[in-house]
Parts: sequence; structure tokens; C-alpha cells
Amino acid sequence: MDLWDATSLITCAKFQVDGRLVLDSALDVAKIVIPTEVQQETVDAGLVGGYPDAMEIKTRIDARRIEVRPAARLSTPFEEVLDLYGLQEGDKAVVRLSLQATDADATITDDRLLLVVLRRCGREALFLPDFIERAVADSIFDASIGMRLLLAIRPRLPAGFIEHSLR
Amino acid sequence: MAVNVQTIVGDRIAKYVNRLKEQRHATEAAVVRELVEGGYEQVLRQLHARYQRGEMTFRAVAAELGLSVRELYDLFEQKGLPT
Repeated sequence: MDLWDATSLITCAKFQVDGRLVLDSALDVAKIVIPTEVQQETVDAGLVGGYPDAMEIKTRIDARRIEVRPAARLSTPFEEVLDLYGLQEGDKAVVRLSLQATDADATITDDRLLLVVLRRCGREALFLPDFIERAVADSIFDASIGMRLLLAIRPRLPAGFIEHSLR
Repeated sequence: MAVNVQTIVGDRIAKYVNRLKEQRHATEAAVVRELVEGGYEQVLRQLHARYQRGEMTFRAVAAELGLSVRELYDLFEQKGLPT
């Protein structure tokens, strides 16, 4: 099981390879778990804004392919550290759940600061291209599918990220 | 959603607005709107650069701009800025 952050989830719910959402390929790899806050950011706010990706995520939550879990507050000193980083409520929910979900293999995020915080908390954190690379390394995707998935999400990733994964 | 804002600008900005008005045969409102939008664009790009450098999270950028996470994702996409 992997824990997912909002922007990576939205990207996967927007782009397709051969008419199939990247999100469904991601679900082939491992179960996706999101904090309640990420559901609110991607589905609740997304539906209000009329974004089709919000409905795609909702459909998979309703089908129990994506699990939504609440995250409890951490100790006060640790919460203060998260505040010092300038983390917002959704960021903190991702960190909290990452620390509390002992069944999570990794947290998938595109957020550089959040990735640093997660790693400093001793949690495995992956950028979305690294998640795809891991699936290829684990033989869940063959190299050709991995390459096509990477190319599909390329418009939303910073220069260098996809090129790095392709080499 | 557009909002109507009345404001007072300083002497230097007022002179610049007048010059642009004459130069472009534009209305005062159009020139001021362009300046405000240019300022917003600059703020957006500065915040995006800080996000990309890992100085602040995506959500912190959204909060700074008064947008939801989904709205900021959409805005970055429209501007061709990666997430």
C-alpha cells in the first residue's frame, strides 16, 4: 500500500495511456490510501470546480479501490516542528498518516519540501516518476509501459524529472 | 468572477498610468488592470519558483494566493508551470 499526496493523485487522474487513466495503472501497482484532507482537496473541492479528475478519484473511492483514512494529530512538539516548516493542514495530514500507517510502503508526492520532511521523519517518499520507476524495477510494468506512463505525465513535471527516469 | 475595486495610486504610478493611456489609447481602467495583473503574474511566478526550490509546499503557495489546492493546480497548468 502506498500513501498519496494530492497533486500526484490529480495528475494520475488527468492523463491516460491508450485510453486508460494513469491512476488505474497506479492502482495495479499497490492499493492507494489518502488522508481525509486529500480527499477534500481533490474530490470535494474538485467536484465544486467541475474538474473531471475529481469524479475519477471519487469513483475509485466509492469502489473502495482508494481508501480514505483519518490522521490523528502528533505530539505537540512534533506538530510545532511541522509548523516551523510552514506546512499547511493538508501537508501535515500527509506527514501524520505517513507516520501512523505502518502498512504504507511509501508516500507519493511531487512536493519537494514535503518529500524532504517525510524523509527526515524516516519515511520512504517518492516523486511520481520514481514510483513508476519502482514499478518497472519490480516487474509490475514492463519498460515500454513505464516509458509511456512517464511521457503521459510529463506536462505536469518539472524539466529533468522525466528525462532522468527515462535514462 | 470579476470585482470592481477603487483605489488611490501614488504620483509616480499615476504618471506612468497616464503615459500608458496616451501611448496605447487605452482607458485608465484597462491600464491599471494590466498593471495589477502583471503584478499578480510576478507574485505567482516568484511563489512557483520558491515551491520548485523546496522552500514552501504547494499548499503554502495555494494559501498565499487564497486558492484551493485544485485551483492552484489548474492555474499552474494554464500558465504552463509544472507541479
